[in-house]
Amino acid sequence: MTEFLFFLLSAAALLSAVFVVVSRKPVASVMFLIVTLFSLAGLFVLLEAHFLAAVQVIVYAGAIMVLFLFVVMLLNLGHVELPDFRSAMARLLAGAFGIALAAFTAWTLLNGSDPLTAYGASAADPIQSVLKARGAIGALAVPLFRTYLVPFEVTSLLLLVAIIGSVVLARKEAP
Amino acid sequence: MSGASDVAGQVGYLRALLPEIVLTVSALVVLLVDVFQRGEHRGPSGSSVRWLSVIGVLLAAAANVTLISLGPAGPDALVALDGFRVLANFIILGATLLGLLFAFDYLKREGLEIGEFYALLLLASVGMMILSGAQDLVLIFLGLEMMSISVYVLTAFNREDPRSAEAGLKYFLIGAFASAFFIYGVALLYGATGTTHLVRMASVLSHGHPGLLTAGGAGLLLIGFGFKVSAVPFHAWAPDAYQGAPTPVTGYMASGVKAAAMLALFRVLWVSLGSVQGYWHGTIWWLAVLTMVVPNLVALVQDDVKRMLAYSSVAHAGYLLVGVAAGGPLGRGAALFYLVVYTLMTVGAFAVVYVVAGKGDRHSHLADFRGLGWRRPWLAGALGIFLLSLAGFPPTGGFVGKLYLLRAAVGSHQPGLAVILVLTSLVAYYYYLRVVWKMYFEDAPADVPEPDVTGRAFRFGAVLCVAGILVAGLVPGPAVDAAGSAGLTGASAPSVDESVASTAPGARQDAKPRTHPRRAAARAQE
Repeated sequence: MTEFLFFLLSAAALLSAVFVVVSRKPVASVMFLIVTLFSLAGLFVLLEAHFLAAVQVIVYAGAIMVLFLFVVMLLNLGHVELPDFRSAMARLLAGAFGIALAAFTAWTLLNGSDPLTAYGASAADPIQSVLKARGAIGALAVPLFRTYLVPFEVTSLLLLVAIIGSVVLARKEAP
Repeated sequence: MSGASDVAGQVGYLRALLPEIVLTVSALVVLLVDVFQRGEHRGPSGSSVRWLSVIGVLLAAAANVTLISLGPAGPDALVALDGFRVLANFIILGATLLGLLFAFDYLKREGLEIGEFYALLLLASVGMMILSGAQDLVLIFLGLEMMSISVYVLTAFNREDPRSAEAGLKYFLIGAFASAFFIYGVALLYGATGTTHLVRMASVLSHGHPGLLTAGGAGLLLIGFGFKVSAVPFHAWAPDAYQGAPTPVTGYMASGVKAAAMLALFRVLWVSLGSVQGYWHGTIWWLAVLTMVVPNLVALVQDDVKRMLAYSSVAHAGYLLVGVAAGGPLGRGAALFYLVVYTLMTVGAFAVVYVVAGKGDRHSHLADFRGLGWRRPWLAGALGIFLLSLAGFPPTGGFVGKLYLLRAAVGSHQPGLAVILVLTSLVAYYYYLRVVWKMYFEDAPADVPEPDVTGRAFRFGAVLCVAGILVAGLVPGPAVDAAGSAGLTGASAPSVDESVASTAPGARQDAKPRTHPRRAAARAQE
């Protein structure tokens, strides 16, 4: 069952991701992106990362997609068919880089070495032990509200600064 | 948090972050008071907002004094509690106070008096204090962003002026680009060491074999910092942003932003990456050399005084990088002392430029300074002292600061840096003295516009700057002592030994008894 769901969701994510790129209507692209994000959320559930799945749906499929749609609507791109603006050179380079990256990943995986530790990353995997001890939500909540409480609060200040800044720059007339 | 340290608990952080909290609260009070005072009508903000923000800065400075008596923070604490942070906070608060004082007249003249300016300035300072005092790359990044976003907005604050808007956009785009480099470097370093905490990262790196990830992470981090401190070749945005921004903001950017980023760079390099000096020391050396040579040469041909000062500020980043490259207690003290003096002289110089430039910041060309010495002797005298200090003439603080940097460079066995510092300073004499020449030895033709009348806040700020520079130049002992004894938690020594440094000529202050850092720091700020 899990395996079947995995392949179903992966296929949906990959296919819709391809459609995001090839689709010529911006609105259609955005809609396919929603499918991709939902499929990824499903994959996160299969990995027992429930919190991540929920955040994926709320933040990405919810808030960020609405933002995308707003931009598309505001710029009135709804019915525009965009011509392909990429040059042959760019396509060639992008394809070459993509293939190289895929080959490199496959090579390191087939070699049996952990791709991270091979280049000097620390070998200990702190995530697994924490996941076992506290579960997925505890693994996030404890660092967020204990160890990183100060950065968490500073983030709220950072957002406040951004809000004040955008209000100041977008104010209607000079005082 | 597991460690049994004094600030790692939630209540402990309230104590350890007191100056930041006080300043944040005063920024929020300023915002609220402004909203309730102005109500529906969109007139200029009342004067209470100004004084509230000045009081906020003073209260934060008082809170900063209480940090001195706190012991060193535990090994797990995200913020450091050391002399380095306390002095950095004093420098930042000093730059903020001067920025506020000089902004009052300017905002009134340009019709920009809205309370958000003060709130953003205070919040930018909170970001700077977090940036220079944090011991964890996550917190450092958040402080960096908080500072940067506030300053982008302040740069573009005069929306009606296309130069200001352009400068803000340029600064924003380049800054976002730099932040991406920075955060990618943090990610790679986390991948290499499994931690973002500076002290723990140092212990991981000193035991294992640092690999490609460490080198890549350190390199990207250096690029990010390079943009923020405007080191050559990452400086291209600086002259445009400095010239376009409202002039008091330029002074604040050139002093506060540079000080905070430079001190954070010092902390990151010498605390977390101290054991892998081979990866970055050569790069810092070259950055320092390029940043001293290139802007000093370009500044020679600038005819606009504001732009010339912008290049001079970039060049001073190079002098400060000498202190970073020297490292150790000597380099640390030299960088801190120079930042104190640099803040006073550069904020003051930009302030005089906006007075001379008149409404709309139109007249900052070299020719507009002709005969200023006879038309406005006090104003010209102040600018003269700032320029002589920037150039490094005795008996100003700039001279002592450069001497201290030279000693740090020689003490860490990098005489090349010292030689280049002296040579580039000699080149810089030309463009500083050219302004002084125009002020005193050329007559003003009739069509030269009359500079503004200065307000009380401006005069008070200018007197503070001049007095600070002269005190730092004539009796540098206490400030030098305070800077030299400022401890840095977890700092590692430069790989070359420093025993030579204490016997080098000019090591006079080592013999004196150490004064209490608090008093000396307070004096340095005055």
